[in-house]
Amino acid sequence: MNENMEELLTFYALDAVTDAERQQVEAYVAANPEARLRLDEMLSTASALAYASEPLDPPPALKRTLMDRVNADAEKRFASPAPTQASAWSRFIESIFPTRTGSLFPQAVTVFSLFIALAVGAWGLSLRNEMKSLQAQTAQLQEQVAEQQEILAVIASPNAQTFAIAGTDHQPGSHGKLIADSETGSAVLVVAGLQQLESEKTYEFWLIKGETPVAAGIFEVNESGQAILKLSHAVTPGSYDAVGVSVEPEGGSEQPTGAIVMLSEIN
Amino acid sequence: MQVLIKPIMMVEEWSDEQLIAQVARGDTAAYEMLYDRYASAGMGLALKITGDRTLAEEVVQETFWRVWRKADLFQNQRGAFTSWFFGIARNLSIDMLRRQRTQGQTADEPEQLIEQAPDPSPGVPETAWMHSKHQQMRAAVATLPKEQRYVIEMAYFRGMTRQEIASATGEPLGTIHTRARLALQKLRDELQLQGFED
Repeated sequence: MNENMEELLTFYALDAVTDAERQQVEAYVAANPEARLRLDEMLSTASALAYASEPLDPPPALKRTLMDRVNADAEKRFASPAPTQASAWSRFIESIFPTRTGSLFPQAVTVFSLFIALAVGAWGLSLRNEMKSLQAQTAQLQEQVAEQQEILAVIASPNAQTFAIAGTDHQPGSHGKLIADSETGSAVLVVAGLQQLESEKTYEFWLIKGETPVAAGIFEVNESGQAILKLSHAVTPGSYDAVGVSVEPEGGSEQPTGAIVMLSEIN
Repeated sequence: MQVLIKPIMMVEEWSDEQLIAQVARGDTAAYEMLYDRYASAGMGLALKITGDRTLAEEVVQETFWRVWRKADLFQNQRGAFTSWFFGIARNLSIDMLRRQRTQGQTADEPEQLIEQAPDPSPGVPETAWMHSKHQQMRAAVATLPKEQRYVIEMAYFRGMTRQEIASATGEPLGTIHTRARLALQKLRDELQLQGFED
């Protein structure tokens, strides 16, 4: 192990090296797979430092300007060129109504007008369908925004209490938090690291008082094993002693029947 | 009574890597999702480094423009999208900062340590998940001894080289190396303990 190079790895990860040092490090890790692994780990940690700064929304105008620029660029770079139809259309008309002087007969104009009317009609129908779909999507998004705001209100509440939830031996990589507003009782469950389940199975969340579990909802996790839920049960100080997550049949159970994958006391 | 709670917010259903792959194909909707996801974090980072809101906005604009124009290059990068994204934002910010110094606009000494930034108010529109990440990182940084936080601040947020840090602190280079190495190790361990996932 080259000690000098190993010392430089940390500063490379922090991007605090000179250009010459950067080249040295890159050459070193290219020839040393173990050093490459160590550097990758440091880079991952260092890049997360960005989250140490306080987030701040840019002004809406910045996004508008940016999107205008991006959309214009997308038009140029990704839109397929419109085929030239004039000559092909002319040839079609010519094949049906051969001209003597090179100008279109009135019948060709009628056919052309009919075609345009049909096309506009089909386009209008397509637009109406698209509008309905967009309206439905908008309503759904508005609902999601409202629910996200409820979740944020709980998490950001000055009365929020956070209880860590650990994975059991069944899923030791899982972890989560129960965040409860001690004033209102509103609560949010945040979990991560849970495995994907088969289609007939679901995760179920339990609030436990003494030895009595209370079913508090079933949920699915995304591809990353994460989920966030706003609980419909109020969680006030002392109301429950523990929380847990189990694997249940699709639709959930009245009592835990499957493996308990997460369990922690909250008192 | 069985209560069905629909997962009302599937956290990041599209991964960053899926979105950037779409962006590389010209998908502006995917691009907009990335903007909405990371604009606040990018703005916060740029503002912390440059100390100037107008410059920070320029950084955000340019960062996202580069994300759009170079999305196909990301496919060849090592690491996560966030490493790439924050790397662009940070480098642009440091360049701005250095230009300020060159123009005689002296930057403040890095006295403000990272963890002293207060939590964002409920009015800041941010997904719960991103809010959690910011909280976790600030909590992790708060566990570092002051000397280690100082080195991280100067290296990451001020763009100083190890020699410049040693010179600014009056400490030997070896001490700076040790503090930086221990700081990153402790941050990694703390983030793992908190289940931080980027």
